[in-house]
Amino acid sequence: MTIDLKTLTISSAKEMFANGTLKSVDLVQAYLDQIKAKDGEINAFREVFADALDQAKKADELRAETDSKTLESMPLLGIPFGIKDNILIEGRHAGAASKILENYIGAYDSTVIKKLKDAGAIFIGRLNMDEFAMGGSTENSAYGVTKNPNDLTRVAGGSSGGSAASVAMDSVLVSLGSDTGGSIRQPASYCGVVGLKPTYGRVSRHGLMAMGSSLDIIGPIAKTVEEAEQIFKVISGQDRYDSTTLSGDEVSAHIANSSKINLDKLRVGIVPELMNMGGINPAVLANLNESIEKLKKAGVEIKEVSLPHIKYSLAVYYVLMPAEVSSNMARFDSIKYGGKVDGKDLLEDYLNTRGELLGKEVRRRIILGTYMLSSGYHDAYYNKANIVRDLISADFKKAFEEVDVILTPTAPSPAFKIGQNTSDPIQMYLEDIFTVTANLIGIPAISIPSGVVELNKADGVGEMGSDGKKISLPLGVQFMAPLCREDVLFAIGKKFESVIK
Amino acid sequence: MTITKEEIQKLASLSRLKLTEEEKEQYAKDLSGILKYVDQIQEVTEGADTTNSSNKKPSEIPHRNVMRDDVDGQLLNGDPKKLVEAAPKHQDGLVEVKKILG
Repeated sequence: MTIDLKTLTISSAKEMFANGTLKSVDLVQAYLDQIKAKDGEINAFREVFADALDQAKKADELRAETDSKTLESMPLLGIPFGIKDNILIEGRHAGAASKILENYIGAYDSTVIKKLKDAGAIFIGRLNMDEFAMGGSTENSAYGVTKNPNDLTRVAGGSSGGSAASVAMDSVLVSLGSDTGGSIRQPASYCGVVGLKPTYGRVSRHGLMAMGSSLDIIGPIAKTVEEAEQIFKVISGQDRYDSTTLSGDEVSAHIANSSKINLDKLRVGIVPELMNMGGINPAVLANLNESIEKLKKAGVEIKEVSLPHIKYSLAVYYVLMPAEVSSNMARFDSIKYGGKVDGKDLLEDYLNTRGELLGKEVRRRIILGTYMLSSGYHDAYYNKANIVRDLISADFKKAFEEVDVILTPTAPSPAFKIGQNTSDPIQMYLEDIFTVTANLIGIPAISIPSGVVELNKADGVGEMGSDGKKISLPLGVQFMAPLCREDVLFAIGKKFESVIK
Repeated sequence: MTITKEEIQKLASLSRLKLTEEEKEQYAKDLSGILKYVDQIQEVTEGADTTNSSNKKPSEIPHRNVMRDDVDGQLLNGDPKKLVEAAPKHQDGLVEVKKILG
């Protein structure tokens, strides 16, 4: 039996499960075949779970013997997921693509995994990423780069590169990633899939390896907005194991703050300051303008808004994030868990283990963060960054009085060549320019495919593929909404999907 | 702001990282570049003076206390035995560390 993996969604899979035309085992087998055929080149997977078919068989059995009412409480029964390598599953390896966690086995289920298991999901494998989620291309993985399924000479993006590539190459139906400064949205954009960064605190971080604790969030990657919404519904909610998760009352209070929003008549804001600052690939700008025109044609109101401090977002992010990284990475002490490189005394254990088993970018950020937090510089950097963070937040509050959702490109360029940015950290960091703001101020954001750019030598973004064929690279746009208004993102996202077709 | 190799060594010792001479040179160059970029936040003159960082909230989401009853066993998810076994060196349910006092 052949399954059209390209067009399969959670809803269509569920429908086929229900009417008996598809079984989970057949679906998982189809994905395992895809992995076998493609992943040798693409390298999206850190590990394919040996029991994936067994999990699927169990799901099929459960479906056969369960009444339809009980099945409603398992909205993801038999749906195959890929999981980023920094999210713990009890009894399975989880390594954040780092040598220091090469042999680490999760001692418990992260909250998102617990929720997915309760909903009946099955796990095909764990996915490649930049080491400890630090990077924008998966080139910082200790286990090799994840290539872009659209062009094998380019990166899949990052840090959740495996999560995006695995969905784009049809080797899982959907996946989970994590987003600290764009790590779900940017690879989703590079690979031509949908990526959601939920509101800070709406999805539990318990069992997610911490990078920047005031910025991190887990979210879904899928082919459609509807699927991102379905997964978000399952994984969100307050959690006793993560005291920063929002209570129902807090969510309601945030929603009440933006109660004027009419989902049927959303006003979309665009930000001239961002578009005019330079450094944006012309194909990306042209695509954004096309997207705006298409939305206008569909009757969506487009309005310019001003965000005067947004130009400082990336600088603020590159102060706060490394500061939080340097604190979080202190846990790798060669004592509690993870690898160990023995020395003559405890100090040497630390120096050797951390010096040898942490990668170059991770160490760069630890050192940078240590500098930002050291006495004498703390006020000039860490405190100053927090002041500007508040100013950015205030700008958005004001803008959200005028519009309901803000539209930007997801990334300033299409997927770049492997190796192109590795020698210049700033150039690499600039890929996050549109995405970091949502993390700084906690708001939800989604990246949605917005078309492709055809490459040829003339447009300066790349060249022909090695086989002489024209290459099309996906582009994405980002929508940002007020706190806890994921519903706004889903509404405008579905509308956008329908006008872009 | 230019960072010297010596400053990198000091930061590396503070953060317990062993670096090669080559890495120190590379990081000195990288850090100087990154600091030059982030220094643009110094242009901003508005905003609340928060030199007292305890007055600071890290984002728009307001701070609030998270309380729980002080009773045993409420916050541990997972088997303590498994958590101890994750240590590179452990013995009889205890984590083993090197002697730190003479």
